[in-house]
Amino acid sequence: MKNKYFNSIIPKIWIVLVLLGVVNSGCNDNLFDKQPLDSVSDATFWKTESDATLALSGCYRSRNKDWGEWTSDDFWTPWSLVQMDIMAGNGAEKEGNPDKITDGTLNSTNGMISDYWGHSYKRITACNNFLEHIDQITMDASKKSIMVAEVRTIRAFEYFNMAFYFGDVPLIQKVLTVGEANSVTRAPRADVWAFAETELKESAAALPLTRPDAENGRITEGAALAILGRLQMAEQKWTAAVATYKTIIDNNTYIIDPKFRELFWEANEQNKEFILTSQYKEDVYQQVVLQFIYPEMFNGWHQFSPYNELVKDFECTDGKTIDVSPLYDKNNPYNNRDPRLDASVLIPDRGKFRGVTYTTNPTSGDADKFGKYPVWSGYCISKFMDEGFNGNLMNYGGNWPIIRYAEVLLSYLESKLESGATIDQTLLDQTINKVRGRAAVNMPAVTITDPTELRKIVRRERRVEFAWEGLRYYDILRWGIAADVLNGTYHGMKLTNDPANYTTYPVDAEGYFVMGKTRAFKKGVNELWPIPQSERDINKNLTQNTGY
Amino acid sequence: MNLITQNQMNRLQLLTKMLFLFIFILSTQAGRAQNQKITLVGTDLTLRSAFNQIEKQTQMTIDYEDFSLDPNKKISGTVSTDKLGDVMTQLLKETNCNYIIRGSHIVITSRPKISKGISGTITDEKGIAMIGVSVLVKGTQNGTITDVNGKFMLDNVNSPSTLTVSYIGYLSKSIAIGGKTKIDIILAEDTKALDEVVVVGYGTQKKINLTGSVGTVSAKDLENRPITQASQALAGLASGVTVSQGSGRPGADGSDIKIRGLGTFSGAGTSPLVLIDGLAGDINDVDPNAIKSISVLKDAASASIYGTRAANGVILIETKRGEKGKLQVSYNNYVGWQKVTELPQFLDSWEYATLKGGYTDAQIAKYKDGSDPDNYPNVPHLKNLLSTGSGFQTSHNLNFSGGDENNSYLFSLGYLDQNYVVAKDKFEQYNLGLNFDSKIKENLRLKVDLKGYSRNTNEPRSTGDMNAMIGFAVREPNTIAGKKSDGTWGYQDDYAPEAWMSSESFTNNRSKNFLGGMELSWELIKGLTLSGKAGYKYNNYTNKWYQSTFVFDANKTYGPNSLNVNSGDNSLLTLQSLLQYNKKIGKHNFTVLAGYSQESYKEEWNQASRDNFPNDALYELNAGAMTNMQAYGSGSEWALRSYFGRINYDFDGKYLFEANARYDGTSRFPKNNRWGLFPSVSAGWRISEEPFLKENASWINNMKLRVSWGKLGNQNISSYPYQFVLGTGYNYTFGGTLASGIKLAQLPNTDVRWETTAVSDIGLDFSILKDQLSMTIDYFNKTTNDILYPKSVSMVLGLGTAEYNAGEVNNKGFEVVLNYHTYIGKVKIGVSPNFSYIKNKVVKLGDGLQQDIGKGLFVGQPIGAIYGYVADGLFKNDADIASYASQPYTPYVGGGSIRYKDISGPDGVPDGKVDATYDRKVIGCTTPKYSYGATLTADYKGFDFSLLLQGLGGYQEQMGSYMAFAFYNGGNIQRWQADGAWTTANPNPNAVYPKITGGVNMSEYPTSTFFMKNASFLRVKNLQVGYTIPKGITKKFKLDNLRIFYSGQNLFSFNHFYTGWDPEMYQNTGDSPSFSPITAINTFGVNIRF
Repeated sequence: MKNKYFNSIIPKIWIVLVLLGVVNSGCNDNLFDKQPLDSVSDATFWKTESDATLALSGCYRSRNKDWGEWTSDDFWTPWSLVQMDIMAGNGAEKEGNPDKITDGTLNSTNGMISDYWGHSYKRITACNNFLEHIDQITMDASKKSIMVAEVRTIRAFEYFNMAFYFGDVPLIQKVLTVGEANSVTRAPRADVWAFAETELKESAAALPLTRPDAENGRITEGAALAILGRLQMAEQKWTAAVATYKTIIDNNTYIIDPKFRELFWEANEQNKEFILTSQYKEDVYQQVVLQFIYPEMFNGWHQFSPYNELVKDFECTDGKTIDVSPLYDKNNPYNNRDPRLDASVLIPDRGKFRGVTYTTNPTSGDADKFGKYPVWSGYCISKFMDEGFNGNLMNYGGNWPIIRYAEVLLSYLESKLESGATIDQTLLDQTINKVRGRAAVNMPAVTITDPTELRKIVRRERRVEFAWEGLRYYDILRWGIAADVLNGTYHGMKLTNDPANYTTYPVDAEGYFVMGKTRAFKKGVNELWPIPQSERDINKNLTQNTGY
Repeated sequence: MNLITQNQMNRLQLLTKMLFLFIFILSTQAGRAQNQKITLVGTDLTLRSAFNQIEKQTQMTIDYEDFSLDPNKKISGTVSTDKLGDVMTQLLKETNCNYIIRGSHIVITSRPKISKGISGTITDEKGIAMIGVSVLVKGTQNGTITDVNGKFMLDNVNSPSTLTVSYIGYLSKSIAIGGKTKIDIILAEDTKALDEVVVVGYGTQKKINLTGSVGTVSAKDLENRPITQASQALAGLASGVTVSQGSGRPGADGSDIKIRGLGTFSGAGTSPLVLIDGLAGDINDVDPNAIKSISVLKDAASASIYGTRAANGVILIETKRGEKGKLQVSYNNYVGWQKVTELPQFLDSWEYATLKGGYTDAQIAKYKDGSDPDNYPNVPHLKNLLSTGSGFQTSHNLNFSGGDENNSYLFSLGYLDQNYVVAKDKFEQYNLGLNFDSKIKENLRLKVDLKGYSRNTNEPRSTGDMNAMIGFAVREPNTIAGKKSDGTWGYQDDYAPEAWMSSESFTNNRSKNFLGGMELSWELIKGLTLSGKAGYKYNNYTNKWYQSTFVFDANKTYGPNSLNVNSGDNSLLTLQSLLQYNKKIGKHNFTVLAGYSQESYKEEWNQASRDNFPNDALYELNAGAMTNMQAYGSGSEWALRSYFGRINYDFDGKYLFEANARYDGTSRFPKNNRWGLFPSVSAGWRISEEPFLKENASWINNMKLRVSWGKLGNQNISSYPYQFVLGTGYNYTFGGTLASGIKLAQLPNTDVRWETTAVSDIGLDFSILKDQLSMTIDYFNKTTNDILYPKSVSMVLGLGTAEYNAGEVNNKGFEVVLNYHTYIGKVKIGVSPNFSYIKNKVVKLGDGLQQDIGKGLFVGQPIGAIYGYVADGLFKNDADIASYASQPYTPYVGGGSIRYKDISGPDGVPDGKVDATYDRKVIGCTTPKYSYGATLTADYKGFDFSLLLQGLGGYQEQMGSYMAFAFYNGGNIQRWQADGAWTTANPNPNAVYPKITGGVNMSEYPTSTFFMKNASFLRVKNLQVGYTIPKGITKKFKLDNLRIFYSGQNLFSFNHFYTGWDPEMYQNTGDSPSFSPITAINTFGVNIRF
């Protein structure tokens, strides 16, 4: 029986096998015709306007596609920008990574530095690839020229920053081959900046002043000029900077928002004070910095701890600094202060979030109890804590301001001042007094016009206005004061009003927690970051900055 | 329904089914059938009517082999109710016929002229009784095997008859019984081993005729070892093969196999090609119990027939097949318990607090007195976590095999249940296999292999996988509570193993695999065989990760809950034709093989996730919210087409020649580089067959010299490396709306081609002392060119890069395998050690590059080189710091930090400054230079003993992160660090650990000799002691064989690595501490055959 069955069926199977095996083998070569199943082939791309739009988004997008904001260290993303304030000595990070940039131990194998480098060139390459191919596309010429200007602005912002922090850097304007990438040399900082300056000026001329709501977040003329202003201030081209900022102001497209604390919440992410932003959206392209900022009692990681040195810079409500103001009570140091203090720093037993007071009592079971980590100062960051957001802290969709109109006004004033122009009350009222006079802050107007005194005031104003927004490090480097302010002992919260008899934690004469000498900026060396060792291992043509 | 319960039910159902099948097959056994009660009704019955009634009552059919029986014969005498056996005997009493029962058939046979019993003893040449020798009456199914005393007994043996006596490793014997009723037989060992056959590419070959270098492992070496993945099986057994097991994670605890060193540093990888019954697959796809033999093709001569995939060697696995004979059932099982091989020891909480600093004396006292365990606990998190699970492991394997002259089959069922040392972690695997062979016609043969498995892994989960949870349990200091008295949990950031273990979070991975092949071979004319084969491998998987909401305490809640489902499948279709011709002309023997094969592969996957499930008991996507749902999916394809051939020629079995060639085309390369030719030639000289040796040195039983050379390829890179593609998913938001984006992410290599490996081999096989001692020695030289290498590219490029054909690597080495067996008194002893030495060297990196520090590649150094500073002990004090070369990292004030050596400077001499450019060098290597193993066996009466040793040597490992550094990133401190650290009281510059400070950053401890350790180890891989119950006893239970045993795996190891850390276990030196400790296991089991 069995054999009968096989006798009939087996020869057929055998024939099939032989046919498949031998006969079929000779001809059809489409066996090897295997194409990627989920990616776009370069050969079929760069044809239509929609291709241009897709590639444009790719230039704005800073991150790997699968990881959202989960890698840090560039000049665009919230986490990175907060960390730049830590480098500048506004506070400490729990794992001490950004602190290392200015504590005297910075070396060429530092991972953060190489991330800034790599992420910047990734975006530069995306821009270069866009600019190399855009001409192939047939589309509306004006739309195309705007897109080109946007991409050139993004690239110029990278180059401005790269040259600011690294000094001389390779200036790449096309997609390289491997051989080229491995043998490039560093272009002088001045050349890189000259390139960026030209790019920004030409782009600004091509960009629209404002955008329809649907395009909110795309680069405008104001954004290109505001970047140009930063560059000119870094170059100390004061007169040019004055002109740039004046153009922005005269265009009359931006305002100082009356709100302050709420300004940084998702509900207000589209407002006329923001000039350049990183844009996010819950669930689809999230930012994660809230996870780092929030104290543990509100489900965060309490990654950042402000120093008391920042807290001290907030004036009293009379507009006077704490060393001279009669409103200052050293036993209740947080009372009667610039409202921006509470809106920037979460102070124990005082700061509130969702109606709950932030506490750090070391003897209680507090999640943020003092002493849990040696680098905790007791303070936490309150800026960006969004009362209106109840979701997962790593799934936040609020946009993040990179440049606000407040910066334009303060930079305009500073440029005027440094250019040697005479300062009058009108100018003060049009600039700094608008910023500190917004309804939610309402600090007394500045009336001092003496350049030396005013310089101090403007610099202090920038520190308190832009705390945690990533501007402080840029400021202290270009003011040349990094070695002065990043050297010495740092402090945390006030632990006692009776320091003489207090022994639990080390405190200074005023009862503030002593965190130790946590910064030791090397003058003449740390003004520039080192070229990453890994890059120099590959490319012998890359020289190193002095002192590394 | 609870997941676990569902699994238990599934298992129960399967076990029930297995049991049912088991009973069914038992019931068809002749022995049982004979005892069945029969009642014959009626008078004047004929044989025919009686048989009809018997057929009805027994459901059996009566067949005739002897047609001389007259069915109309009346039955004399009375037959009523009796056992079937007795009824049949009664019915046939007056006839010339007899009957036998075959399955469900009662076969009427001719009555033998004279029938009698025969018994005897079988011994070997030394007079020692041989157990388990098969004794068969030639031409019948009547057979038995010898008992513990070498005795056998057979009934109903016709005269004249011949007995066939056979035993593996001995020459079979046929003995005419004549008139004897007792016969003693001496079996001679198959000393010539002439017939030993080795599986080679597309066929088999007599070992004696091999000219290539092939290592073999047989089923006997693997039996009863608690191997959970087939890749673990080779450890210590084959020379030239380096096997290491990096993880103990159930379901993912396979070993890494390298043949003759690391041939490449490219993405093409160093994994050998594995073929299971001739079809490409993953070695872990095969059930270790099903393996009959493993051949390791090590040189190009033996592997080049597999062309473009053979560069890393080839492993051929043949599974067990049925043999003709009565149905044999064998059942093997074991039960055992695992424990981790090594466990690091951490400081108690009060010691931690003291060393860490920042704690008051009162707080430290509270930690010590344990009065307030909620706030001042002492919880050894890692130790606790690694003992939450039972570690229970069990395996059951059932085989049914049998067949007749034309058809044979083997059907197997297997079950493995592996519980990890971490609770809720369970791996289960069901195996099923059917191998079927049929001689359809005298010249037409069919071979069918079907194999399948179903796997199910459950794991607990934290914010990451279980192994991340284990890694972070290393970090958590004892000062952090587990579960507190009020029901809340202690935690450090998101890390809290106790809390996560109690949560509903889980990982569940399920996969099903099918591998089937069918081969027909047709002998067209004598010596010329044409065969066609079709094979299909299919695998699918569904992995679920569920992250529950979890309340740690009033301050910390993890959520929202989320589910991630990832599923996909892949398939490989193989079509193959072979034409083979054998011819003998006088003393000239030829074999010619020509073949064609094509393979096409496709894989697809989908991934989807949702969050905000209404509770933590719903694990399907639809139950989640739609607000944050995500979906991803992709796929890829490749295809391979090949023509190949082989010519073997020998003259008089003395001079052996072989040539192979394969012509391969692959879709992974651009059209102009698509096809490649991979030839090889080899020759052998059997010196022992030469008269001058035969006459003058007859003590040499065998001596053969082999030489070979050939080329191999490696195409195992990404599927589309030469195509310019733009990646999708680089989306951004404008005006609150997501805008799709794409980006050029990778620079392709439009000229990519495969890597080519050339291997030369010279080998000597010889055996002496009547083959008691045999030895194989091989020397090889293997060079891989055009290594596909994503060479280090400056980040300035801004893109990922494809692989370039740039590098060259050389491996030279030798291998020795010894085999010795003898008797000491009546104890049979076997010793077979093997040893391999491999010198690996990067010869070229391309572009004249001398080193690629980022990838750890240096010309002249082995792959896996460790590059770093040379530590010169520790600083004693400030004066020491001041007088020594300046350091790249700020040393602690007062000494105790690592002192790195000033090796060189810009002028080629030490410059007083230690920096990254001039003062780092290759300080070690993570690739083992030596691998060795040894099997020791001893048999005495019913007892058997075997010991397998395995070792790797000549390599170093670095540790980093939480494993190596005290207080790293808020982490814990280990006993060896605390006890061995530099202190101001004892400023020992040679202390094993630097000065302990409250916080440590990775960059303070760059790669250096300080944190590098010799990772060599020698492991007792397996120890087995068994006892075979004497036949007299087993026979009472109608069993052929019953053995009970103890088997232990990974029992001890000898090493000089860090205290508490197993050097074989893979650890990441970066800031990513995931790992799963490997385990030792003690098992007990039985082997039953009937």
